[in-house]
Amino acid sequence: MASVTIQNIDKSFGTVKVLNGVSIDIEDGEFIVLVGPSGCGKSTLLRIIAGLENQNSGSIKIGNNIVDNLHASLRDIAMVFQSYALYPHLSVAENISVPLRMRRLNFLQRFPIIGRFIPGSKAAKASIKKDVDEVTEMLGIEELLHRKPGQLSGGQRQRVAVGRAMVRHPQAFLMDEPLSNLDAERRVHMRAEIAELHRRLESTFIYVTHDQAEAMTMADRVAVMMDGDLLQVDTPRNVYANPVDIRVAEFIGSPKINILSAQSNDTGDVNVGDMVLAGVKSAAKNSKIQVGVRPEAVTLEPKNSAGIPCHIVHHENLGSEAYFHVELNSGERVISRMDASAIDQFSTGHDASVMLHSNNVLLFDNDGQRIVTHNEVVM
Amino acid sequence: MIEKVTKTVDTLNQAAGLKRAENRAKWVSYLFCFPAVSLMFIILLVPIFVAGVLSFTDYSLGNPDLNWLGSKNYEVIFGRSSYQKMIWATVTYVVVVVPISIGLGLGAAMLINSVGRIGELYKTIYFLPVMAALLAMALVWDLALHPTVGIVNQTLRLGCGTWIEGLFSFGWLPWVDGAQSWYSTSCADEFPLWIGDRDYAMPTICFIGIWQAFGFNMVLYLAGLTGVPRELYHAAAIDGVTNTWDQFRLVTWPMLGPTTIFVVTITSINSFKVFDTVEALTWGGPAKSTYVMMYAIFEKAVKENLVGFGSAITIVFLFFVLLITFTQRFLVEKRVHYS
Ligand SMILES: Nc1ncnc2c1ncn2[C@@H]1O[C@H](COP(=O)(O)OP(=O)(O)OP(=O)(O)O)[C@@H](O)[C@H]1O
Ligand SMILES: [Mg+2]
Repeated sequence: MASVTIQNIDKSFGTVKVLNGVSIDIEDGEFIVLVGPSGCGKSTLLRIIAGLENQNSGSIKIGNNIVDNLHASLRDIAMVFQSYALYPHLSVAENISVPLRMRRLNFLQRFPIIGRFIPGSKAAKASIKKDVDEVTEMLGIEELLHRKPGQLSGGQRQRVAVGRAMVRHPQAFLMDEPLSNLDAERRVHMRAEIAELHRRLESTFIYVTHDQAEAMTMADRVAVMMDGDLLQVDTPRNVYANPVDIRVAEFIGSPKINILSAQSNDTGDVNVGDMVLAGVKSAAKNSKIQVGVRPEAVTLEPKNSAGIPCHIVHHENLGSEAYFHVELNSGERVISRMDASAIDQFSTGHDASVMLHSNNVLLFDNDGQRIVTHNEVVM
Repeated sequence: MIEKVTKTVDTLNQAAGLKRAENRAKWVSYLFCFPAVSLMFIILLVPIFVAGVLSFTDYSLGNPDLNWLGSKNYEVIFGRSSYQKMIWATVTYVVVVVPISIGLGLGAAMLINSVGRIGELYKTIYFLPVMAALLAMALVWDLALHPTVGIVNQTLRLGCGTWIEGLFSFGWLPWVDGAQSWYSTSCADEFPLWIGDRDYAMPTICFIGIWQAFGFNMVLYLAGLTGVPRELYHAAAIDGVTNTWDQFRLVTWPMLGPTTIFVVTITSINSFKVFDTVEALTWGGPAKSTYVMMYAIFEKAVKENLVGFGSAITIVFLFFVLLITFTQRFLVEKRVHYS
């Protein structure tokens, strides 16, 4: 178990810059999730940590050691690949034992037949078997030990890959979208299982995904990346409620945050269309700004009440709650998320008014940077 | 009610119609298959059957009477020493050429795969012998191996008395007596006749066979290597594989299993069929040391017009080839396809 320190990593493939000075301090035993849209450089960063790819500049520290010049096998980390990368010709038991065989048996002992007669190999093999059994029991895959990976389901393969990673108690676990090959139901199930595994092993987990739901549900901290930049590293709650960048706000949260253009005056009051956001004071005065409001902070009121007039374009009933897609006079679209009972009152094709709950609004300047507001709610 | 009944009748009618249509479709599908299937029989299977029948006779082309000999042809093949030599020569050729050309092909493919741009150049050069007509190349070899004016022996002679002789006589190894080495004794005496010498003819033919086959095997292995997932190498690196040998054993070799089966089968069959070099260089000699099966078939059936006997050798030949194919099919293939 060790901390992992990522300092100022730069990486380009030819002329394409993939990572721009990424730095993260990952604490010992932490579960950190790297999340971001496809192609933003998450896998590249993970592979640099693992030692499968070389950075152009910057450095990686695992525990107290700088590992930049260490081969992947010497960094004492384990990785679970998106494709699982199991050895197709080896049985499940053999797959899981590979990392131990490579470390505990010497060159001669690993030889087929001859290896059996080299002193010490019997004891080493017994210890390997014991450790493999322990892991398979923990993952509940004892019945699969003699099958080949080709005879397993996606979820079972995933477990075997995790087993192969666990078996030698590495300093840190790196996981690259390990759930993306599973169906939706299995994924939700495995999410909980991996989080539980992390609690049990108390080891450092660095987990890559492009699925924000996975990030929010499993992480101690979420690192949001976009286009090679690390935008924010924070708890799931803060990333959601206090995004520092409009791109973070837009990436995290489903349905997506509503962004409306607005204007601040010289006292810092914010106007959205004709409506003044009550109680909100922007630090950026007299400028064009953007207002972000989460769908749950938007409510519909009957037509002609206070708020911005709107037209309900579409509504979706999800059972316990409902999403209302409305169009403002300015042409901007807003999504409101309310209790499903609101459907009785508001439905597609009707007019209504939109209320923005000002203690939940986020202000961004035109570059997408967060603007300080005076009534900031601290979560 | 009436409506319901008509409906049922309709469905029944429809079902019957469907059945009829289905039958017709089946019948038509056989019709469509017929040309291909009959061609297959006429072109591929009938000739083999005819050869099989002829192999029990003394048939020769243009000779009207034909006598049933029973198994006599086969008794000759397995009993007479010149035909035992034939089988021996063929098997020697296969046993030498197959492993060496495959080993070299695999090695070259892995080297080319690991270098960047320049690999393309090597690929082209190594593939040249495959593209060249073997008969034409055999003539070049014939010139090169000529005992007195051939470039091989001339070059070897140039090295005599120089450091080259010193190097290749291996006298610098403490346990070798340089003066007794092959190179030194040849310098003192004379260099081999190669294809004219019964001890050297078969190795020389094998060498040319390897020279020709290894480029093809290399290309097949190159194709196989592109199919090895890169993530497996990464997984291996993380699992603690640091040297090339372990990487080869854990990932490359198992993943190339299907390619290897294919390469072994193709190379074995091609080696059984060796003919051009023998026909161009040695005519099966000296002393039948290179009398391979294909050449024997050619000699008996074509040159000497002993079609019945030639057919018998053909059947023996087919037996060997089928043996290889079935070994591949049933014994090995199951173990290299992992899903
Ligand atoms: N070996 C390579 N050579 C050239 N470009 C590469 C290479 N590997 C990755 N890239 C590029 O680097 C960028 C980041 O790739 P990376 O695999 O890290 O993305 P990612 O965030 O993991 O995306 P995904 O969620 O789709 O897996 C992409 O634009 C990709 O095209
Ligand atoms: Mg990726």
